[in-house]
Amino acid sequence: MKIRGNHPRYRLDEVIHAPVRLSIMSALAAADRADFRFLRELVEVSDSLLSKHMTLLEEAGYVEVIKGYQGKRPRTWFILTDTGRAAFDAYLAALHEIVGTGPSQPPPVS
Amino acid sequence: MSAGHDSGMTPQAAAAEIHRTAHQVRRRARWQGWLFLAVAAVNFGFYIAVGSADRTVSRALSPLPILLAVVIFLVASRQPVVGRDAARINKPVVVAGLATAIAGLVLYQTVMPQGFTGWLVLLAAFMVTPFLAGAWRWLRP
Repeated sequence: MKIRGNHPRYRLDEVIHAPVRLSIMSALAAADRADFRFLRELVEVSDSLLSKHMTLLEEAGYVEVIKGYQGKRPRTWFILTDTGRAAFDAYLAALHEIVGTGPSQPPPVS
Repeated sequence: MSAGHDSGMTPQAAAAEIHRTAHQVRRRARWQGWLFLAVAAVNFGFYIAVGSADRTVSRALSPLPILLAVVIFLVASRQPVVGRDAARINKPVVVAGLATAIAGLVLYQTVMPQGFTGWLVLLAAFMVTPFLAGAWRWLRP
């Protein structure tokens, strides 16, 4: 039997609440856009793992991918969509409820 | 999309990671502030030089703003991250920078004493104020 309670942890979006995707989402939430290389270095993952998680986020409608060129070099940019920003805000609200801080307060670092 | 699942990440760890990444992104997005500061410094020097030099030198310096615009474009296009609300912050700064440049030019041509004076320095400082404000917006702690 599946139990669904009122605890705020049930409102933690499972698309976001995974270590790599959380890092990606929080980075994109703090930016207008970020490129592939920057995210890979920030999250400290391989190209293939980042691509895999980006595909998941794109399929969820949270991230928009923009491909272009800088000179002859291909470059990929990522932007958080309005849906993604709303999902991340909801995730943050649930998280703050769990850890007991307001959205404007810095989260506790353990 | 939601569940009370266990991802192996505690809420405290998630909150700390959000704090870390947001801090890193904001730090890397500060290039916009340094760019505005550089624009303010170059424009300040340009206005003083053009205002105090003779016509030949002024004419020789006139391509500088175009060169500066090209450099800004090249620098900006190479950056890996663009800070949150960049369009909302940067557009008013650029528009105000153009407006003060035009207002300063009109003032200089109509009511100001010509050549290098304290007024010219004050006017040049006024003309770059929007870029200094933009720099402060990105570089403030």
